[in-house]
Amino acid sequence: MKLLVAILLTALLALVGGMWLPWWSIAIASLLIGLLVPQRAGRAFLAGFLGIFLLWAIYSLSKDIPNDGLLSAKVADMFSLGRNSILIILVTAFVGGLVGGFGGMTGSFLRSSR
Amino acid sequence: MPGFDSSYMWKGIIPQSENPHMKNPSRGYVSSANQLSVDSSYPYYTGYSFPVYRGYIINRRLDEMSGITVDDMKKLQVDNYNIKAEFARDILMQTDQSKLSNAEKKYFNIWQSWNMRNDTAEQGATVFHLWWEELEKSIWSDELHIKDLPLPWPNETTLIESLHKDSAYRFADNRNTPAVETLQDNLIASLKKASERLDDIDRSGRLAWSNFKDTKVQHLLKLPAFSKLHLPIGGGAGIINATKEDHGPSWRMVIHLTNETEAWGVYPGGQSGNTGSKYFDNFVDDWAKGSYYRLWMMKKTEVKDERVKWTMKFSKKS
Repeated sequence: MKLLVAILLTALLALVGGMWLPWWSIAIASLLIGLLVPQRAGRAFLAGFLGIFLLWAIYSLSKDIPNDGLLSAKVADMFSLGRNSILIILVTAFVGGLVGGFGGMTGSFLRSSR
Repeated sequence: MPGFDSSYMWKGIIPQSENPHMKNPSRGYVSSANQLSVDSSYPYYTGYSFPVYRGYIINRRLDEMSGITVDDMKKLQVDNYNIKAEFARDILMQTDQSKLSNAEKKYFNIWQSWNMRNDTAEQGATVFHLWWEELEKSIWSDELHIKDLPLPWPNETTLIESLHKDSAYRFADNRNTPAVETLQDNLIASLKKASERLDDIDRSGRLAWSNFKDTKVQHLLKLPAFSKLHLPIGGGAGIINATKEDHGPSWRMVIHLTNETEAWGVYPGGQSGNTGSKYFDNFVDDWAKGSYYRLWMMKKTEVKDERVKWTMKFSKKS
């Protein structure tokens, strides 16, 4: 339950933060949730990872579908992913997830060292 | 233009009346295709290298045509007839076929039965292109590829012109061998070299002209993902449709100067500069096919036309 709350809060805070701040605000968002929600480091990583992974995957998809996957296919091609829109969206979400995960884990460590 | 000769220094502007120009010529048309537009009596320097073939074939076509319609002009702009191949034919025909291997004979036959058009599927165009390239190398490399002496490669017309005018062309001899080679030796040797390359090309399925030429329209950053590659389009250097591997006549337009100006045009791009837009490169395939779009010569009364999607207002900042 705590994990689910942390995931949703991370995604929400990162979404709101992203409206004004650069992309790396996702690290701050997941760090803050890591501080706020008391969890062990592993679970904090998972919460940050999934929060940002889901946010970026769903957000990319919501932009990609009206575009008929035109741009995502070209970018996928550039990364040698065979013009596969879904693959490049998964890679995108994974990279964001890593940043979010490490942010959440940092928050958890900060909390436990206080 | 020798840069060390001060007599070539800037002296002034050529008077407008002495600029090359033409008005209502008796032949009934004005044409231009990057050719030398003046003769040797022209007193001013104009540059030194001008392509000949495109202007020649354009004028020949226009001389033959009468009652020209807009469709005739569209067809003319994408014409793939290879006039250089026509001029070079009698030279290559001198090849002693009894001295050819089976492979060489095969390519010779492809070339011989070729209709001299660089259309997409023509294999003869590929054979001719490589054979002529090898013939030039075979004849000139020994003289021109001299270490520490940078010499420019001759113009595209030079070899045909020289061989037509000079039956004992001395460049045919290879300076690096004791024997005295003739044009005949060069024809055989160059076809042999070309055959080896053609075998490789055939194995990779690229013998058809457009596959060999492999025309592409590149994004400015040369990113393949943002470019249009492997376009099915014929033509080439010296041809009216002068589309080469990555450059050529992109913008095609036909204007009909009737009372109400009618215009058609196309270019290998799109109306949007956004790589994520479907309008980024949606003209390319039509361009490659040689089809045109009707252009809108907008009139004042059409300001409210439904085709006006957006307007931009300019105002003075007070």
